[in-house]
Amino acid sequence: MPWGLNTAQTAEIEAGLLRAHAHGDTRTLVSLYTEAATEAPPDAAAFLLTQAWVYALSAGDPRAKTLSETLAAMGRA
Amino acid sequence: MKDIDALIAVRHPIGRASGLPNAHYMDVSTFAEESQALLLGQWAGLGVAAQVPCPGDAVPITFAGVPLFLLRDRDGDVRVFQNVCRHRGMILVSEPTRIEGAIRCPYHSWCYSTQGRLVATPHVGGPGRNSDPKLDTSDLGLIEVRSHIWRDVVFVNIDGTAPPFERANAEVIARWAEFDAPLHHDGRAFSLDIACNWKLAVENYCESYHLPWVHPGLNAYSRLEDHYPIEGRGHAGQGTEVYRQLTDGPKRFPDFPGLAPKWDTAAEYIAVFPNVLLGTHRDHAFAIVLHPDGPSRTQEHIHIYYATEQAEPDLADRNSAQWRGVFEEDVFVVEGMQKGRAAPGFDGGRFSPAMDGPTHAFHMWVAQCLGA
Repeated sequence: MPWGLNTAQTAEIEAGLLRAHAHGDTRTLVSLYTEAATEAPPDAAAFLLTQAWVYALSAGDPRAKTLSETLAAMGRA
Repeated sequence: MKDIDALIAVRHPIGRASGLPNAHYMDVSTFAEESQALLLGQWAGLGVAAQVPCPGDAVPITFAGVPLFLLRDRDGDVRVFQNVCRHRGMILVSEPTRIEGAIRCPYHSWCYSTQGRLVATPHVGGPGRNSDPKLDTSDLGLIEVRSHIWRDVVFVNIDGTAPPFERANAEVIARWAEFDAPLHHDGRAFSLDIACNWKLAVENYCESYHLPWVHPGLNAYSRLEDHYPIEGRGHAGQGTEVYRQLTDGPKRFPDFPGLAPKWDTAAEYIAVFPNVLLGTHRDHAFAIVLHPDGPSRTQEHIHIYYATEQAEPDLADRNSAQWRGVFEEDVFVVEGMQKGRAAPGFDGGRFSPAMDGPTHAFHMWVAQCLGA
C-alpha cells in the first residue's frame, strides 16, 4: 500500500480524510495525515506530514511545531 | 479623459468657478484616472478597525478595484495587505473570517503569518519537499499597504506616495484634537447602496445649504443660520452651533471627556478627502466610508461610536435610526444629481459664494490632484 498501511486501514483513513476535507475539519485532517504517515516510506511520509503540517499551521494547532521539526529532521523543511 | 481647461475653470474664484464636468461622474476612463489620483494616491478610508475586533479577524475589501484585506494580527495591530498570494496570484481571503493560525492560500497552500511573512511553501521542491534551492522565498511575504488609523477609520495609501497621514491631515487632526478619546463602536453599522458617483456623496455632505429643503426634521431645531462652513487642507464640511442631545427621561449618552463648553451645543460634520465623512458631537460620533463602485455606484458604510463601551441600547437604537433616516433623505439628491449629469448641456454648474464654499473646496482639491 502507498502509505505502508494495510488495505482496510488505508481505506478508513482515506474515507476519514474525504469527510474531514468536506467539512473543513482541519484538526481531523492533521490527525489523519499524521496517522497515515506512521508506517509510510520516507517520501510518502514527508508528503503526508507536509499535509498535516500545513493544516496545523492554518488552524493554529500546536502540533504544527512538532510536525515542522519532524520534517526538518527528515531534510524536508 | 480629463479636460484641463474645465479643471482650471474649477479653480477660479468661487463666484466664477464651474463645477467638475459631467465626465467626472460618468466616464469610465475618467473614473480610472481619478481612482489613481484621488483614491490610490491619497489617504483613503478603507474601513474601520472595529470590523476586525479580535486577533486573526480578516475582512476582504476590494477598493478602487484593488483586492485588499483588513486584518488584526496576532499582536493586535491592524494591518492591510493586498489580497493576493505571491505564488500564482490567487485571492487569499474571500469572505470575512477569523484566521486561527496562518493565512493559507486555498490554491497550493502557501501560508503566511498574520504579520505577512511567508511561513510555508508545501511541496514547492517536489512532493514532501518544502523548499527549493533554486527559489528564493525570502522576499515573498504579503504585500502590505500603508495604513493609518484615525478615529477608528483605517486609512490606506495604496500607491505609497502620499506624505505621512499626520502631515497630510494635520489641520483636521488639530481641529478635532479635543475629541482624541477612545471611540466605542455601537455594533449597529449599516450600509447604503447608492446609484451615484462617490464624489456627489462628498459634495452633498460638505454643505448645509440643502438642509432646510432635504432635512426639514434636522432644520426644525438646527436652522440654516446656525451652521457655519469649514474649509481646510484636505477637508471641508460644516458645523452647527445648535446640537441637541437625544434623551429618554434622565437617560442620555455620556460625553467625551474634557470638551470645551462650546461643544455643549455644537457639532461638526467634515469630509476628509477623498472619501471619509465624519461627524462629531459631545456624546457620539460617526464615520461614513465611501466605497466607489464604478463611475455611478457607491456604497456608504456607516459606523456610529460612543464615549463608553455600553451605550444605552434604546437610545442607541433611536440614534442609529435617526441618522439612517437623515442619510436616506440624501439618497434622492445624490442620485438625482447623478442622473442630471447625463444632460449634455450641463457644464458642471455654479457655486453659491455664500453657501457652497466647502463643495467648491472639494472640487478644487479634485482638480488640483488631477494636475490642474
